[in-house]
Amino acid sequence: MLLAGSGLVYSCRPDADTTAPEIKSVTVDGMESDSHTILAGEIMQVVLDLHDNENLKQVKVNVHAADDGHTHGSGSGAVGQPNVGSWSYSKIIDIAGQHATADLNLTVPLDIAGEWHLEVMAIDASGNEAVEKVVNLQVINAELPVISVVTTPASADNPILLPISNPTFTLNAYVMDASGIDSLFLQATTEAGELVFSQALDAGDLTEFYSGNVDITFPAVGLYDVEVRALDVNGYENFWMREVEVQ
Amino acid sequence: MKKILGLCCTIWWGQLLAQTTDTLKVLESDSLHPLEHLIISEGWIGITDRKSSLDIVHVGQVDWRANRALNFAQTLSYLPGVSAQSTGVGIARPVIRGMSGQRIVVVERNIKQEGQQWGSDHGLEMDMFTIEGVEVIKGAAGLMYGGDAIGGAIRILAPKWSTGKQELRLALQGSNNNQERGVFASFQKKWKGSKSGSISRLMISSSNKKSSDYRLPANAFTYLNRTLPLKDGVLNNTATNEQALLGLWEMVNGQRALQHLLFQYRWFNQNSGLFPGFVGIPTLASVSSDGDAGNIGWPMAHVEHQKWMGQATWKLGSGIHELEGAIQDNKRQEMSVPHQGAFVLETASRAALMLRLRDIQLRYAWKNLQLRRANVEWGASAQQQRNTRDGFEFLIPKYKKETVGAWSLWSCPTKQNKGQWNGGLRWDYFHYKTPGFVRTIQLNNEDYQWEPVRPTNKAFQGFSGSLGQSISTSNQWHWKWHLGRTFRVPQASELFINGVHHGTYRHEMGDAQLSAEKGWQWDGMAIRTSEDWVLKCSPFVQYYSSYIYLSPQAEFSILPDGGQVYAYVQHPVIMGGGECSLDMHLLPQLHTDCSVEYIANYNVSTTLPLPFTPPFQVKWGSTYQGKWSENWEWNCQFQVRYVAAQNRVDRNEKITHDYALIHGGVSVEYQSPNEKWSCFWSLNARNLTNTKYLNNLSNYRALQLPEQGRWVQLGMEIRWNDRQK
Repeated sequence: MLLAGSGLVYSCRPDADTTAPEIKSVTVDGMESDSHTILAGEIMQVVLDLHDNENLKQVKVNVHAADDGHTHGSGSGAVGQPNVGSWSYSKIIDIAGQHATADLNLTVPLDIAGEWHLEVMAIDASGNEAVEKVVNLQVINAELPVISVVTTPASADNPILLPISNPTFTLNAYVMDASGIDSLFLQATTEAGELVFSQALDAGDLTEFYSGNVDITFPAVGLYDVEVRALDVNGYENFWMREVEVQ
Repeated sequence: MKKILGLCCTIWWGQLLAQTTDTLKVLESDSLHPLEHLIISEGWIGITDRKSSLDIVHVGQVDWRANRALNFAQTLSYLPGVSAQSTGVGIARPVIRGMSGQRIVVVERNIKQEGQQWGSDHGLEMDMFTIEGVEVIKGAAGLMYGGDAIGGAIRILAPKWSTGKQELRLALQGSNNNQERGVFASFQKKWKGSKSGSISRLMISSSNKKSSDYRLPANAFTYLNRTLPLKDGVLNNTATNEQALLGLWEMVNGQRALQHLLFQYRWFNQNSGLFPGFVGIPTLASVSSDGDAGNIGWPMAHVEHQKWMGQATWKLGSGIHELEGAIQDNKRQEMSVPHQGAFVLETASRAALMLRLRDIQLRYAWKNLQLRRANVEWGASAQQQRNTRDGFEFLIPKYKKETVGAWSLWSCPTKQNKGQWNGGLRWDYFHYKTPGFVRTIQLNNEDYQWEPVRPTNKAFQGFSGSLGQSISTSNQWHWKWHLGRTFRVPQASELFINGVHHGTYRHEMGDAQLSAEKGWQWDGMAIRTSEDWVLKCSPFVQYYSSYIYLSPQAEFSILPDGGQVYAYVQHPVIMGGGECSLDMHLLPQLHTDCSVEYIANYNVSTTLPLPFTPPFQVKWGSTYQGKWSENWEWNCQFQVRYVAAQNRVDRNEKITHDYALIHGGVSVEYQSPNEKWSCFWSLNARNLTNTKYLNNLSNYRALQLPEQGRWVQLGMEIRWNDRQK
């Protein structure tokens, strides 16, 4: 009985469509690549090419920040400089047939810079899900102030290590912006967000501005975020950020 | 065999030598059937009931303690046909013949444990230390407990009675993987009535358990298509702490009309960190360790469950009347930061989900009615549930559920008194009412009016029934068969859920138009006994015309952090399979058993298998019991489990590869010469070969996260009583 019952069930072989659709290509501004450099404020044209053995149903396009170092199955996973500004986008498009293309025009926000992911997912009419495709978007923003910072101690490591016997960190910021710099803001916070240092500098609408040496002395052992923010006269803001660990 | 049965009876009966036979009979009533009808005692495979046509396995204190794992479901998974659906280390739900969650009920003194059990990441809110044994009913137990028990039931047996007038019990437990450490203490005092022959007891117990972040043999995981690293395999913020209380008073009296009276209170409180990688859109920063493995940060879940229960049994004429009532209050709060979701934060609170379920149950049964040769039971039950919600996320709405049921069960001996017929009929009525839910969410920086659930007022009613036979054709052969017509009403989550469920990592959507799940179940059992071995085979075949399950849809979630929608749908489904076990005593001290189990199912609509189907399994275990002296006993055991690959999977479900696990353990028990105190030490190790494997039933499989590697658990238990030898 056991064998008969199991055999009856086991012999019922699937004849349903279990073949997943395929995202053949994702082109950005006419180019098919894993990574694209785009400009803030531009209208980005995205074209998706999709195939299925029977009938496509939906495609979902999603844009999300990638500055935290996450990957989608491959890549280094390294954390880079934090993004300037935020940009998120989500859209579901109905499609049909064995072959479909979808065109989108995405407006890149004016006030952002950094790294984002363009994620494309697709399903067919039976509910089979395609292997997603992800494209890196490097957003360049020429309008943002450019910040260069020299630190003492100088270190390429993140976090920068300081001994508790000498918990002072010195930074010197140079900011450049063609339209004029409004102000510079420097701050240090603990991991919990508690402010341990803060200083605002008026840049007087200059196109180049030096902060001079600014000393930050940390009160105790711990991990701190040090941030330099520069605001230009048009309201565009850029920032520089490092972690400092006092041991 | 007689020795084993004798030992079993001694454990139960020896506690109360001073009581009358009538009182003893009442005490036995916690089990479904009196022990005199048990036919076999199997160290690993429990005790099987001779009379019932259902497949009921009794797991006593010895087996329960010897196989204790990190959670309730894992402890049971050594039984053939029982598996554990797990979410990490501490949370798991029992799976009986491929059915779990809303098709399995956990019952304590005929009262169903009611919490937010729709979530497969929600554990059982009950103190493991207070469980000293269970009865597992495989197959439909709906006639006794309603349609929720379509897949089976697990009855928590009452804590054992003290062997003396007073008893103290202290237990300590620890394991290495997540630095779990638990302590439990209980006190029991017993009184004998002066003339009435009654016996009463008061028992109080308390436990406290803590654990740190746990480790997995993995260095990355994938959620919402994002792959993030796990440093040293540590799941950050998965620490838990748990406290529980139990207080009970009960009285038994076999000579008076009021035979049994009980009041019980349980409190369970648990705080558990939720791995940030599974809540909202995961970021690298959120999954990185905060350097403290023992703390509970954001996001986290707080669960508090309180249960007040009363039970009375009295005799009137030849009939026995049972009345049970219970109130349960279950609070579940999930706290997180709404930083990247679609929900607008309405208050400064970080409460993402606040669910409160208040449940009232009342049950009456009139048993032992003799109608000609038949023994008949009549019963009725009522239940009301009120669920409220709050928080900035949404999964299930506020709702009210009312249930009324009535049943009749009967049994009568076969003509030559070689067996027994069992049968019954049950009628149930259910009513759901929800005001629905509307919420403003943000999509692409614009407000969007989202109505995940519409106001609904819906009622169901229907009959279920069964007929079965249990018969001995000789001293060696025993047979059982059971045919049941099942009727299960959709649970609130199946009707109303709509949102990204972080516990299962997907957008789940209910359907208020679902109808009742109806089906036919046939279970059989053949038992061949010999002096030294028992062979048991239990096949089953089931057909459901409207089986409810979560199915992937051709639709994406409109929520930014949601992928494909999984909706509750109804399809005709066929299931079949069974278990075969061989239990041997080749030496008096050596016990060995081997079992195989297999389940296959077929969705007639999709022509595909159902998701989360347990694969073919072979379990083999041996235990050797030795004695150093009259006072020292020891036990050594090992278990090998082979789980085959599961290639029969539902749409978009990934296959799992085969694996083999080896578990082992030793225990030592000392009993003082005057039998006043005893001490029990145990060392259990699981997955000794540190095998990295994906469990087909685990929620972590979707994230490509393996189950835990090798872990070791240490336990110690001291019992003291003032028994006079």
